[in-house]
Amino acid sequence: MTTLIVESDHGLIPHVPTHVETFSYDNAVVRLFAIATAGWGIVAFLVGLIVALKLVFPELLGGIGPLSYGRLRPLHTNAAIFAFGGNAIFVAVYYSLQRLCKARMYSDRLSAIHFWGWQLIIVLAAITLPLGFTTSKEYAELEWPIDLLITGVWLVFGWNMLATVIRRRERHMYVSIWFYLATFITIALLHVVNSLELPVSLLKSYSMYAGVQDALVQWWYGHNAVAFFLTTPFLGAMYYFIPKAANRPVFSYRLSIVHFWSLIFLYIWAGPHHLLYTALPDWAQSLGTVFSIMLIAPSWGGMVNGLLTLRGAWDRVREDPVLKFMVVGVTAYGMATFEGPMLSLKNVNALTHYTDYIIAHVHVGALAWNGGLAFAMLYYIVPRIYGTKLFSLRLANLHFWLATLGILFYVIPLYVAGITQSLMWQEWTPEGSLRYPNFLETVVRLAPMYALRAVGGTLYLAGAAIAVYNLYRTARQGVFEPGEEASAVPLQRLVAPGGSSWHRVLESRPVQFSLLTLGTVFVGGVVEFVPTALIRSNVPTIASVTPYTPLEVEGRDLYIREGCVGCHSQMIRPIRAETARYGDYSKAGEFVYDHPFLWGSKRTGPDLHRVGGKYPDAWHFVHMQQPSATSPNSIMPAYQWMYVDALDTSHIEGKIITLRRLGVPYPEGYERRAEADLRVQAAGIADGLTRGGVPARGDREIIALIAYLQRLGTDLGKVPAAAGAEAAAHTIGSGGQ
Amino acid sequence: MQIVETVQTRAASTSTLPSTAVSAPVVDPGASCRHCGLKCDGGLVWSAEGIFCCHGCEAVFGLLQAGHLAGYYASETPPGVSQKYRATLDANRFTPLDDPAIAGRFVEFDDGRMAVATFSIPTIHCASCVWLLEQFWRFDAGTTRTEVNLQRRAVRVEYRPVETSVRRIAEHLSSLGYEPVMAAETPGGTVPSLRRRLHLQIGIAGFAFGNIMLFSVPRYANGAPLADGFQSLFDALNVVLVLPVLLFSASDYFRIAWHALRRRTMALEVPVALGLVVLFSRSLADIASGRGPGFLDSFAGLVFFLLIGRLFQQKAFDSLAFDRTYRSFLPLSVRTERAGGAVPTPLEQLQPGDRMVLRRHEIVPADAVLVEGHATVDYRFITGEEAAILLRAGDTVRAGGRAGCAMRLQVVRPVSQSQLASLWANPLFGAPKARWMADIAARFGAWFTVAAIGLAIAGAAAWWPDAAASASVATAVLIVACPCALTLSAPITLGTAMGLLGSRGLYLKQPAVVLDLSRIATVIFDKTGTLTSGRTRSVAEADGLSDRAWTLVRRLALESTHPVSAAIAADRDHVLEGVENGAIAAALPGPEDVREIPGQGLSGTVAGVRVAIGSAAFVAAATGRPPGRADRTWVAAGDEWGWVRLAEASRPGVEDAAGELADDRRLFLVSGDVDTDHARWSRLFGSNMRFMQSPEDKLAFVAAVQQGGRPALMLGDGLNDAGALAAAAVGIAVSDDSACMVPACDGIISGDRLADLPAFLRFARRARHLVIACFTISIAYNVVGLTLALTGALTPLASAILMPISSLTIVTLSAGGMRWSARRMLPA
Amino acid sequence: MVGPADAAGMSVIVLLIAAGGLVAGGFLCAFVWAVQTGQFDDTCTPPLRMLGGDDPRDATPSPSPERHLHDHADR
Repeated sequence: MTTLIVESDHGLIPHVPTHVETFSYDNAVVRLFAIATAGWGIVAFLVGLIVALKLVFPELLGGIGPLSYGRLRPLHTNAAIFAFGGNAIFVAVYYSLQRLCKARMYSDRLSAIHFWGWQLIIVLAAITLPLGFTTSKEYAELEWPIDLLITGVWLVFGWNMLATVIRRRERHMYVSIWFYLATFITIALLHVVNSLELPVSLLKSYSMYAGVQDALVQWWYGHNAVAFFLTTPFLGAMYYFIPKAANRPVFSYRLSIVHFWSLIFLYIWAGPHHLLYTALPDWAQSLGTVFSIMLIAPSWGGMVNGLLTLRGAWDRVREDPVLKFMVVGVTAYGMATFEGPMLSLKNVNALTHYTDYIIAHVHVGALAWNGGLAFAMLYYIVPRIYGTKLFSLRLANLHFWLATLGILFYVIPLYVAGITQSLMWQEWTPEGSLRYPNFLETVVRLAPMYALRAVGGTLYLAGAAIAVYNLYRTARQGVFEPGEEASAVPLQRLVAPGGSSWHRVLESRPVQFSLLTLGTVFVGGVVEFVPTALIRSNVPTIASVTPYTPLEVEGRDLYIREGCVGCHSQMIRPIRAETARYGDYSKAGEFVYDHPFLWGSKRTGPDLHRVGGKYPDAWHFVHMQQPSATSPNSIMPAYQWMYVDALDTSHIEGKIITLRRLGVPYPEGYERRAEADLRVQAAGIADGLTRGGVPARGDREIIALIAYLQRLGTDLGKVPAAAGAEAAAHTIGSGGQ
Repeated sequence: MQIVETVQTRAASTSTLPSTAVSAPVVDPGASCRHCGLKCDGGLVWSAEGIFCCHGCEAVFGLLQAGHLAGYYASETPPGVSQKYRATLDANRFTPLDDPAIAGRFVEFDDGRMAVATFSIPTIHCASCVWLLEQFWRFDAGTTRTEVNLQRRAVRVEYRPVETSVRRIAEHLSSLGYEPVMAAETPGGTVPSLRRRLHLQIGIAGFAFGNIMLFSVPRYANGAPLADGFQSLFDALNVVLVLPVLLFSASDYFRIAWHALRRRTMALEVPVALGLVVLFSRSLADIASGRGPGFLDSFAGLVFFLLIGRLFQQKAFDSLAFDRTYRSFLPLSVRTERAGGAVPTPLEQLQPGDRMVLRRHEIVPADAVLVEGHATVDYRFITGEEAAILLRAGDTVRAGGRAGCAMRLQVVRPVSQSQLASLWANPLFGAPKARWMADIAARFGAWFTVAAIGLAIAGAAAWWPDAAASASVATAVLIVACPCALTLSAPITLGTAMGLLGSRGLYLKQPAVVLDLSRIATVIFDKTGTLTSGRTRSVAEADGLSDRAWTLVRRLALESTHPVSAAIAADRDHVLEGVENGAIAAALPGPEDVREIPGQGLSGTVAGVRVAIGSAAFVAAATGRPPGRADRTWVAAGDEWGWVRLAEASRPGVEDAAGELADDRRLFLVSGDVDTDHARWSRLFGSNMRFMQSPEDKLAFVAAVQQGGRPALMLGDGLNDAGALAAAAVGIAVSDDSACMVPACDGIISGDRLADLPAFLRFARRARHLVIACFTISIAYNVVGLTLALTGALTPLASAILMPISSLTIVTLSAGGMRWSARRMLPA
Repeated sequence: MVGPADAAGMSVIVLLIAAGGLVAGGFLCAFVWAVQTGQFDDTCTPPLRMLGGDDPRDATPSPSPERHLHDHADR
């Protein structure tokens, strides 16, 4: 027994042959996105905290328009989702995709364009939103030029990713890659469809859809944005980083594949559950519910798969902050994906919708699932790209506990708040009248919960700050390696028997047939129906419903600018408690001129759909100057600036024209009379106020807002005039009186 | 104890090994190898790098260090494969691959510039293996790319034929410690294209199911057709979506049913296909006539679930080969004496009269006679008996024997006519086994079709003369009567059971075997290698040595891994003169000039005393005394000498297991070898014992036992059991590592799990009961459905709810039930 | 109960179905491609392969083989 290695001289001294490609992973772009994630994360949490505090101290930063609640709230949501979440996604993709494909990103230039483009978008959002340039569609508030920019940058991202996948050196596409690709394709489509809008000016546009349609499209988008922006990419990351960090293969790879495909085939349809009890037809609502329920299966499949991967590694979980955050995140994903379908059940929804319960629900997802995974990734990646260990485990653990506590302090009070308020809204006296007819009573009751929530937010923010410091010190102590050397063998197109190509697929006739038919049917559908859909959508079905007067249009745009929709819904559901409190329930036909729809999704304040004529103009005038004057303890901020700033009517002509293009029946040439009509109506309101002892000037913004509020929901009461444009013109003409 | 202190350079470690042996302090014998993690008792290599169980492991370790591939060892448990076996390997075993015809068996693609070859390497087992093997291009200049398929335990190598060759790739793989299987047949498994097709069918059915539901729910929710042309749009979309399901996903059912009918036979697919056809056409009719939305969602769902059942049915352990013929035990070629020396000759060309030149441990491919001198062979692959047999010139050697030393043999019969091969001539090997399940399925199929059609006619008659109503009732009946739940329960239950058994060391060929296993009335054991493990033996008798001498003998025995030495070294019972001497033996210093002559014996000097263990002749030669009886193993120390008689050690727990089985089943022992320690076995088998049985005898015996439809379970290991394994209702091969070669069988059980056999059989029985339970439940569902159908109340909604629910309950009950019982009935 | 669920309002559903359908169809094609090119033939190796270090000096992982085989055998 002498020679143990057969012919050991045959090239057995390891060597690197010529056909092997040596390349480097682009860590630079990963680093940039990581920094962006951390930075924007702090911003998002901070703005969130400010907004939360404003509910406790309404006067906080009072009197400054750009810092008012209504304008900061969308800034917070956008920063959290697109700045923090978005950059986290790109960290995950750019780090794991390269390694899974054994290839550097396709183009460093595209990577750079993607990074800087995305940051530009965020900055623009951070400027325009406080300035009040918003479409008011949730998570899609940004105005049309930025929408275009987003589309472009997103396509760059997709192009870069696809090209990398095509050039991969690993034959098998690991499941994470599928999740990433799904994210790109779906979000691109959602964004485009939902952002169809007609510009009035550089920073003002009207949604192509009106009322119910707009609502449906918006929530189809809204739901799927959550699905494909905050879920699928993070699932992809989960399937990469949990095994890597735990140094264990995923519990069941087959399950992960099934998870992906079932999620893909189900998720896209669950949107309508956001519109339960709204003017959406029943069957569409039930559809949303059914599919939301069905979603539990794949979602939990994913959660179980993630957690079971760690079975036998719990000792590691105790030490490793990466795994800790992963575990919390995945568990929260499970909770949220169970809670979501439950919330989509009609009776549950009746109780929870419009309340803080939903806010709690989304923050379980955002803080624990997205936040948890994002920080886990940062803790995993930063030490590696800097070739060092994490600066301080103790700080990381501190962060973990602060974050966990923060989440609890945030979520629990809001669950309580949601239930409490909802029950108060629906509580009856023995005589059969509302026990709390005054909405404010139900708000005051929530003050302590709101305070606690702010504490939770503070804790979470503190944790994040510590994390940033920890990561910064980690980077400091290490040496950044911009290009990580690696070598791999390129894929070759060998026609291996058994392995087949498109020809083979198309040979199997049924597949070919089905694919072609499916394709044509859907393309046909788009081509044929889109135009009709958009035009038919604007045919009024309730004769008495007429277009807004120019002043009301301006008032409505102010309502949008100030983000009133963030706290006030305009959708009275056919539930006794609501009709008793707000008046007749909302009909789909009442919204046909609403570009965009303003149904809202949260009632921090009362619903306003039937507020028109409920109070005298003077009440509104005083209320918005000093809310507590008319409603003691109100947590609504004051809007002094609307009393100082003159109403900008420079765009009214364009607005009328644009709206007419969208199908609002303003008579031809009316745009030229619009300004005059506006003045007349404004003057009328101002005189009325002055006569009533409240001196007011007709050229101030507040007048327009009052005009709009007084118009809200009043159409049904009107005597149906002769249908058609004259009727519209008539009402408009006689608008002021 | 012999300890090699190796001080060497990287380069040295990749080539031959140093022979400089210096004695060093005794290290903890429990130490485990740095490469393979095995306990290092036996030989121990102590190098600068650490401790290794053998030079092979140490060499591979050195190689990886040189390649900066130390990452290979960054795992909790050393990932390497023990290289101990290399000692027994022939350095030139890969030379046959120089013959293009033989190499061609590994090559699946070759355009002269690039080529692809696939090797099966049973020892691939973990992430480190995958990682290392996929960097194989670092070790073989011409190799461009390697891909591991763990599922099949195979490596796919892309290489440039001009720069390297199949042989060199094989050699380099082996020198990394991954020994490719050099057999004529490599593990099979389901053809990928088949599995892909099924995946595709499932995916498309699932996609259609989901979307058809999407377009059907609105109507159910609305309670009436939708307004504004939505209904017609959705119906249209549904029809489009369902077409691929009908034409592609469900096609197999129609084909099978059609073939069955053409052959005037019956299969469960027939009523299923019938139901599907009716379901589809009725739906089309409803939609066309605007009578309703049709049952398209039920249709898609049904197909989807049916296919999932099929997926379970196709379960298979890709890495194992159950259909080995004798060819897979024989080398691809053998060297024969031609003009000018020994040239590799493919077995097909082997002619009587050819002179084969065998090296140590090569397999004898054809019946032959020993040309000259002495030689040893063992028949471990044939009988499981590992002890070598001494041959003299002119003795015949049967094909399948393993050469104990280099020898020259003259072929007497071509390979295909060897005794070994003749077993495969038996018709049993051609025809696939009749599985009980198929039989049941056929019966149910017939029963169901008749009942369904009968009921349909009755229903139609009942509603006559209202033609429309009776038509819809009839169709409704046929729809509901579709035995989908039945079709589901068996494959899923059995498939799950198969998986669970597999995770516990009993690998079955296909799910249906579980059902056959559940009705075993007779269990037949082979002895050597089955009841006993051919390797371990124990000292039955010993005589003639003083305590001191016995101690020296046992110390020497520590040096060899041969079964006899191992038995003597491990012996605790035969303490002469009442003093335990094992401990003392281990404490003695390592013997000098140890010589081991395979098949004859072991000699050396312990503490200055000449010690020998081995055959009478060997010991006589070593000690200069007249040889004693040949049927004993003789031992000598200095001037004392004595003998030991060894007995096979039965596998732990197997006797209790057999006893337990005996309670409700007939037990038999059928052994190929002589009737040693009869008493020991008669306790278990009483008179049910047959010895000296030829393979054909065994086969005939099994057939006889099964007379009168009493299915038997045959347990054997060697090739000589192949006939019996094939003849038995269930033939299970016992194997000590699932990688090693086993004869054709319905299942493979790992030797250490034999003790769990009773539990496994109980579990199989539970599986059968569960299938029956599912049948009952699904029949209950069918009754509900039928009443709805007959009363004309089977609305699309009703069926859309009923069908998935019934399917889902079956799926969960089958899979869940088996897992639950596994936790309670099976040892972990 | 929800009042006149007006036809006009809903025509946009067609748009959404078409859009969603396009995506779904696309994914279906992707699925077919993946299966046909054998992406899902071997579900045992990929999860282990991705654990492998990205360059030779990296540490490779340590999933215990038994666990892995169990995973394979059990489903």
